[in-house]
Order: sequence, then structure tokens, then C-alpha cells
Amino acid sequence: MLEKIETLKKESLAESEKINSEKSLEEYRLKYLSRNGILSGLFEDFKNTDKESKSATGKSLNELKVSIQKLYEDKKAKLESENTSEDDNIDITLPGRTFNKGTKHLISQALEEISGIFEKIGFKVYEGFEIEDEYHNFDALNTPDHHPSRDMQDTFYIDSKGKDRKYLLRTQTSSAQIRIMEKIKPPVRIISPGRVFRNEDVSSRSLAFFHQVEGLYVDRNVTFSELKGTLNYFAGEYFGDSLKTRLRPSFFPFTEPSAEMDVECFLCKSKGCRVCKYTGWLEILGCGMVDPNVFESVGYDPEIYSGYAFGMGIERTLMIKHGVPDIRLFYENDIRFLKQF
Amino acid sequence: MKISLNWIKEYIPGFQYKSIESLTEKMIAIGLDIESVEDERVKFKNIVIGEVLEKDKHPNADKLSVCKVDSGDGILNIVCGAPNVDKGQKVCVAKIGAVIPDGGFEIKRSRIRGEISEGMICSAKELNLSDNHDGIMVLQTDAINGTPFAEKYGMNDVVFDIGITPNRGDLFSHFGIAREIAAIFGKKIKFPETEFEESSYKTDELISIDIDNTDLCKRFTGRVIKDVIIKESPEWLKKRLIAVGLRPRNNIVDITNFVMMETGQPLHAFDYDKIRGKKIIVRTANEGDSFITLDSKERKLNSASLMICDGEGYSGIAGVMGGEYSEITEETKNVFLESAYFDPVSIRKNSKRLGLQTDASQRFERGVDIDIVKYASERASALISEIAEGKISSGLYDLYPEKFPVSEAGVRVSKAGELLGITLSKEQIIDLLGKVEINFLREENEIIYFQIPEFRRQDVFREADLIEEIARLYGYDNIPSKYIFNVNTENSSLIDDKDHKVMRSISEYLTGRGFNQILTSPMTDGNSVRPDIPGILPGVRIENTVSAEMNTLRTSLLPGMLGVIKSNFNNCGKDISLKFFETGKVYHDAGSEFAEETKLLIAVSGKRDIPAIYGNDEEFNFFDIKGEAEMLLLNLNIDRSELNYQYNKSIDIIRIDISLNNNNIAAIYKADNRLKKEFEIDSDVFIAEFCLNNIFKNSHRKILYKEISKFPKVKRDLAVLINSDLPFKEVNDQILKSGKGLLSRLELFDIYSGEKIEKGKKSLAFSMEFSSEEKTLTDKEISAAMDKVIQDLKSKLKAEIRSQ
Repeated sequence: MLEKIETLKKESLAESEKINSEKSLEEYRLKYLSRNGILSGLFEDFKNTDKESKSATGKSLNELKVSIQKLYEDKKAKLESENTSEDDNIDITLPGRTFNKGTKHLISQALEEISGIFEKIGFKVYEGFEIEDEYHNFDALNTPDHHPSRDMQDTFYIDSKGKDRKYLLRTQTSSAQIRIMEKIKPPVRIISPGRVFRNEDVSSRSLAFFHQVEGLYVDRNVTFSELKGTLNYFAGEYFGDSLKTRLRPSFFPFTEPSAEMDVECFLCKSKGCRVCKYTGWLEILGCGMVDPNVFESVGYDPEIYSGYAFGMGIERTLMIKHGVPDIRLFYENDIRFLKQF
Repeated sequence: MKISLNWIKEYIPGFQYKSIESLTEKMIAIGLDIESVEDERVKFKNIVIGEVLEKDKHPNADKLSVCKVDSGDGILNIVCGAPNVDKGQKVCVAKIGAVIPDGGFEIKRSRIRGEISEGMICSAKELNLSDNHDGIMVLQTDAINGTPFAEKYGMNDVVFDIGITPNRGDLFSHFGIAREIAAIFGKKIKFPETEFEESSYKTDELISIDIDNTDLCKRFTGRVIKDVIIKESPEWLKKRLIAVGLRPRNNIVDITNFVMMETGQPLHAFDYDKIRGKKIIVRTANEGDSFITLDSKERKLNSASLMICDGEGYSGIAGVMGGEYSEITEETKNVFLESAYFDPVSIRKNSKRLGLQTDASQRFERGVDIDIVKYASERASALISEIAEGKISSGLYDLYPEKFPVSEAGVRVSKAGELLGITLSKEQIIDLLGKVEINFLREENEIIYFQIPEFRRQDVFREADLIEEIARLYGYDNIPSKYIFNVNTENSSLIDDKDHKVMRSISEYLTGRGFNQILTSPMTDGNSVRPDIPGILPGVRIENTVSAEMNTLRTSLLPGMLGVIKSNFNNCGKDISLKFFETGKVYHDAGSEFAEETKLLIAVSGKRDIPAIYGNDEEFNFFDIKGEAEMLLLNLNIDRSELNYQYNKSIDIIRIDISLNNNNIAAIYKADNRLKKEFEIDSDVFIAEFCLNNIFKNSHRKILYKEISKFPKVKRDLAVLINSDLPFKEVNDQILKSGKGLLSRLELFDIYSGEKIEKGKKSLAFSMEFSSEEKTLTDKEISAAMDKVIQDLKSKLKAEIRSQ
């Protein structure tokens, strides 16, 4: 018996060396370790060994069992590790399974970013109409017919045959101010991104349409000081905190006082360059306190309420910010342009 | 408007400033919109007075000379092309580094036909001093060579180009700007005296004046100046006009222009001898008449055109432009000088209608200072008497039927402080406004009243206007920035931005899917308005566009998209992969009003967008776009079970229309051959179009939790043999219907047609999942459910079961 155990020890070791697949592993297990395998047979035989040799044989037999089991487990573990690491052969420098880089249009990005900055401080997005009537685009905004302020914008008029009023393409998102104030009572706090139209010649600097973002806040006790703070907050978020801003007195028919806001030229760090026309400043938006006449046209009492409004063009600031030389690039939609942003 | 600083200085005694930069900054801070600053000392830098020492013929060019010129700091070799250059002349030399004012080119050391040239001898035109380009400018001077030209000839002016906003007509003059600058520096302004000797001729004996339309002409003054000598204006006058961009003509015209630029009051000088009947009538024209203005153009008049007429006919268009017949010429001996006030709206209408905007109309339509009408006339008379040696008729003919009342406005100290967010005192307000001649009148019931100067009548008449003046004089910079906000959310919920948020999530989603967003023109040509979606309404036409390519607003995003696809294939070749989307408005004429609708279009075309190594040789097909569209709808929270699909497949048409409660939600289609041909696109283009308005309505639905089944699922497979023309959907729907109750999932996993099965048949293999929310299903129950499915397929679709 002991001899047999010795032989088996050698054989099982030699055979285990040959295990190279799950199949041979399983065959090995069946041969030695299964219910009908060699080891079971030996343990059966062991019951019949004489008493003197029983202890020595038992010890050897147990050792054999442990050794075969260990061989089996080792081989099994080795095979498993070999199996899972078929990956060892892969070239992980190969390209990933990518697809097209999707991009939002630069103008959409800007509209969302700017709206988002104001949404953080309680403004809600409200969009007006692009096809407007003269009343909402001009008269209600304190821009009466035959007033020189109408010349500030060249207007596209719409063939309005069969309609009860004259329609036009809005020249400014400010018409959204009137629309929302007609709808709800103060407090009103909106940010209104959208497209506007101007009857201008197409060039590298201007198209017949562009985008603006308009803001309006009306409540009791709204001050010019608050307007200044709001716009400084915006400029810090959008252009970066380190840039100075300034407000200059200006004129818009629908605000009084009116101002234009400049931000330090971020290209030349206000040293003066071609883009800022050597002034060190870039004009970014127009703003002011809502004119009492505008409140009257929407039925707000200017004795109770005050408010501020502001509006900014998107394309020209983007051109400066991203070094885009020609406004038409925004609308050509060349994939090589779109994918850059 | 161009403003000369030297000119301004004349009106502000004791005016001093640190530097042009600091002055500019202060002017901007008070609200002057300075568009550019031109400093003559910089403009004429490196241009000096020199002397021609020698002149030789150029060895290689007949018309050129080679000169030795003493420029003060050295003898320069200069090649000159002017015929009049000669030895001994004092000339104007542009040295290396100089920028020639006319044309803006920089002088560099160069070789001209082999000869070195180290500068340029200038003509008057090159220095922008006149049109004279006959030859170089020969100077009559004994100035030392090297003297800067600008210094010698007083070219030390600074010219500001200032944008004038529509509310500030008063700034259209040097007086106006001087007032602002005086306010900045706390100075008083002083305007020139207008002294002249009146002759024995009496104005009202030489001319009679009548105003028919006193509503349109509120004041009209006239004077006759006899025996004028028409000639070139003196240097100082020409210089002033040139500085502000006007071309000198003759002394009379120059003086009227000068006084306009000085006072803001447009004047008109008539040839007195061309005033027929020696009378002037201000009245509106007869409808349909025409009139030749001094630019020799015929102008059509209408019954609203206010005219200056004489005894026989028209003599000028009031406030816009004079007539050719009565204009000042070299032969003019006697002058009639008009200074008047016309109604702003009337001038504006007339100038608009005529398409004729002039320096005069620009000022009248903003409203001139009615009080300065007389001063301007007298100022011009004094200058004419001095410069053109004319004899001024005695007594100004001044028709001013209804004197303007004193203009006043009041402001509450509390209101001004509250609106601006600062603390102000009454004294402070009075002091600030006093700087711009808005002077305190009285205080009544907490309101302080001010007299508004006549030149600010159009602009300042309400409390808000006074507060604006206070703000700009206080200084916008001095108003603190308030950073802490109290957000009153009272009406916030009334502003609905849900749709806008859905729009944002759409673009987030699609860019994540690899789509590039495009933005195309909303203005198209009328031809691209077409019924890409059935039942489309007519387009919206723009009346006043010059371009036929953009006279209609788009009714569909499709033409824009196809244009972009075409140009990208053209620019980048056919091997690219294009995945685009656009969200934007389309516009329709909806009968009684116009309608704007937000649409979304997505399109794929070209190669699949995967790296070549993973097989990008395939092109996009219909199922790519169908999948993208369906995925998008799922992501938009649309209830899939409610959707109604309409399939349309025939030759050249592949299209699915999806609706929800009879509203169009989406259309998924392949661009047909007609479109591909029209847009010259070879590749197939697959498109999905979404009506966002209808999607918004359904995407905000509330979702309630449904309990997740605790019981096991049982899987079964089923292969069905059917006629090959039977659509998948019918089989799928039938299985779903028959299995309703226990069948919880159904998925197609194989389609086969070929050798192993009968011709004209196809096999669809489905994987099915059965489960119940109440219990564990028994084999028997599942078999019963399967049997029902199989029986129904056999009986209703004549299907055979290949395996189960």
C-alpha cells in the first residue's frame, strides 16, 4: 500500500504538470479526487489494512490526499488566472471606441452661461417673441414714432396685410420686458435670451440678425446701486474677477438714467490694442433704471415700483473672447469651426 | 460729431487740464461718447520744415528729381516727383517714421529707381490740408530748418469724435460740448460778443417775411447783408472747419457752417437777388411739386413738406437743404441770412421721406435752442461784416409768434436718493444741477423746482430726467455697488421656464450623443418655404429687405440643415461623419396673427462615427436616426405607449410620423431624391424633426412609483415563420396583445430568411419574459400563455412556429 502511495505521489505530480486546460483539469479531478476516483479507492482499501501499518499508511495516505488536492487547486488557480488574463495580450494603446464629439453652438453656450449666471441670483428665463408689433418693440418702450431714437435701430417690417396692426422683427430683446410686465405684477425678475434683427448690411462685423440677453428686475426700492452690483457680479462671473468695469452715462429711450458698461480689455489687459481701439475698454452692455413711461405703458405705478433693465449683444463679445475674426463664421456651421468649442 | 479742443478752449476762460488722457476720461465719465481722439501733434509727428539745398535730375527717371534737403538734424537725400520742387525752397518734409495723414502710410528709407530716398516732400493734399495736389507745398517762412511743422503752423489741436445720442441735440455744437466740459471743471463759459455796425438799409424795407404754418415754424429770423465780397475764408476759419471735417467753400457758406458748428443753430444764406418779389413765405408745399436742391437733385414734395418760398416759388426745403437757384455763388453780391426754429417731428418726417439727412436736419429734428436763433444770426452777421465786408441791414426781422414758456421741472430729494441708492441733500442736488445751468427756482411740498435751460428743453422735463442729470454729475463711479440682494420670490412661480429647461436638456442630451449643434439663418428666400410637413401654413414676408435671398422667415429648419450638410461635405470630403441638430423657431402666417413655433431637427449623414478600426466603413442608415429619435423621446419623458406611429414606405419615401393625442410629435425620414438633387448631396441624409411645442406639453408629466415585482421572471424563446412582406411590428404587436397580463418583456433577437426556410418566408426569433406581480408563475401558467400567443399567431397571422 505504501509503495502504491509512493507511486501515485509521483504519477499525480507528473500528471498535474500536464494539465493545460479546463478539460484536463477536470479529468485530473475525476481520476484522483472524485467519488469514484483513485483516492476514494485507496481510502476504501485502507479500511482493510492491518493494524500495525495502519497509522503509518494513514499518515502517508493523508499526505497524498493533501498533496494531490494542493496540486489540483494550484493548477486550477493557475488556469483561471491564465484564462482571465487572455487580456494580457491586448494592446491597450489602441483607440477607444469613441464617437463624434458633440458640441453646443458657441452662441448657445454663451446664452446658457449668461442666463445661468443670473438664474443663480433669482432671475428666471422668459423668452419673448421675435415677430413683434410696433407697440411692444417701440412705443411701449418710450420710443415714439418720429422720434430720432427710432433711428438707433434699422427695422425689418413684416408684410402685415390682413392683420390688425403693423408687425416687425424685434430689434431688441427689450420687447420681452413689456410682454412679461403685461402678464404679471411686480416683483418681476427675468433674464431673456433671444434673437434680434437689424436691417443692416452683411459684413464681417454685422449680420441682419444676432443674439441678445435682456434682464429686467422690478420691485419696490430697486436702486441704481443694485444694478451696478448685479452687473459687477455678472462681469466677474463671465469675464473673470480680476477685470475692472466702468459705467458710462448713455442714452436708451426706455431707461433713465441710462448707462453703458465697459469691461477692461482682456486681450491687452487694458494697455490698448486694435480690438479695444486703444482705449483699454470693451463695451459689453447697455443698462439703466426703467423709465417711468415704460411703467405707465404696462400699468405699473412708478411711484411704488422701480426697476432696472440691461441688455447685451452676444456675437461681438464672443468674437473678442474667442478671437473669431468674422461674425459669419458663427452661421456657416463648418464642422471644423463647431468642433473647436 | 467732431469737436476741436482749441475751439472749445475759446469759450472756457482759464480752462486747464492735466493731460489729454485724463481729460478724455473725465469727458467719458460725464457721458460724452468719445469714439476717437486725434491729436495733431501726433498726427504730424516727424513732419518738419526743411530746405531744398540741391536739386538734380534722377539718373533713371525723367519726371523725378533727387534733392538734398536740410531737415534740421541732417541732410536727407529725397527723391521727389513734383514738377515745382526747386533749390532754395522752404518745404514740408516727412522724415522716416512719419505717417502721411492722407492715406496713412509710413515713410521708410527706400530706393526709388535705384536712388536712395530718406523722406518725402509733402503736398497740401498729402497733409490733408486741401485738395491741392498740383505739386509740393512751398512755404513762405524763415523758420529754422527742423522746426516741427505742426508747431510752426499751430497744428496743435486735438479733435474728439463724439457720438451724439438722440436725446442730446444740444451737444451737436461746440457751445454744447464746452458747457459739459465747463461743468466737469466747475468753470463758467463765455460765448463771443456779436458786435457789428448796422448800415442804413432797414431789413423790413428790403424783405418781408410771413409764416403760414406757425405750428411747424415757431420762429423765423432774417437779415440782409449787402455788398459782400465772396472769396476764400481766412486761414483761422478754414482751419476750424477742416478740424471738424467740413470742406471750406467760400466765406459766406463757411461762416454759416462755422456758426452752426459753434452754436448748434443751422443757418441758411440765400442769394438775396434770387429771392423773387423780395418776400419770404414759410409754408407747406403743394402735393406732387418738385424742387431742385443745391446738390442739383430733383426732390418730390408732398403737402407735409415745409418749404421756404419766395414771391414766385420754392426757395429751400425748410431745415433740410437750400435750393440750387438761390444758393451763394461767386457772383453773389447780397445775402439773405435765415436763422429759424422748425418743429422737430416735421423736419424728421420730411427728411426721412426725402431720404435726405443733412447737418441741419440732424440738429432740427433733435430740437435746437429757440433762444439761440437770434444770437446765431447776429454772430454770423458780425462775421460776415468782418470777413466778407458786407453791410448788415439794420434791425433783425424776427417772427416769433408764440414765445416758448419757461421750462421747469421738479425733483424730490428722497426720490432721487432712493432710486440711485445714495444719500443726497437738497443743497447737493442744487449744486450738481447748477453745474449744467439747471438752476434752482423754489421749493414746494418737498419738491425742488428748477428752471431748465432752453437748450435742454427736449431732454429734461420730468423728475426722472433730473435724477439722471444728478446721477451723471454725481458720477456713476461714485455710486456704490450693492452686492447683497434680497430676493423677493413672490411671483417667481408665475414665470414658467419649464420649456426652456427642456430645451437645455435636449441640447445636453444630443451633444452627449455626439451631435453638433448648428445655428442657421432664420431669413431665407421665398422659394424655400415649402410643405415639408403636410398642412403647413404660409410663410412670413419681410417688406423692406433689399435681398431676395432673405425676404421670408423660414417655415422649416430643413433647408438650413441640408445647406449645412452640403457645405460640410464640400469642405471636408465625403468620408466624414455628420451628426447635426438645430433648435430654433419657424414662423407662419396664421391668418389673424403670426405664429412662432420652436422646432428641433436632427440629422445624420455620411460614415458612421466610430473609429475605422471598429469598422466605420458603414454609412448611417434609417435605423440610426430612428433609434436616436426614439431615444430622445424616451429621455424627454414621453410616454411611449401613448405614441401613435404612421408608417409610410414606397418608392423613394421612407418616413414615420409620430403623434401623441393627434398632435404631431416627430417625423423621421430619409431625404428624398428631389431634396438630395436640389442640395447637391450624394450621401443619404436621415432626418428627424420634432415639434417641441407639442413635446413640451407632454414631457412635464408626473411619474408615480410602480412597485417592482418580487417574483422571478421566466424566459422563453419563440421563432415564428411568416410571409416575408409581413412587417415586424404586426407580429410584435400581436404577441404583446396575446401575451398581455403575464408577458412582461418582448425582444426581437434574430431575423432570418434564406436556404433553411421556405422561399417568400422569414423567421423572426423573439425572446420573451413572463412574470407576475402577485406570485411565482407555474410552468402550467406559462405554457398556457405561450399557447395563446402561438395559437393567435397561427390563426391571425398565418404564422408557423419554428421552435419554442
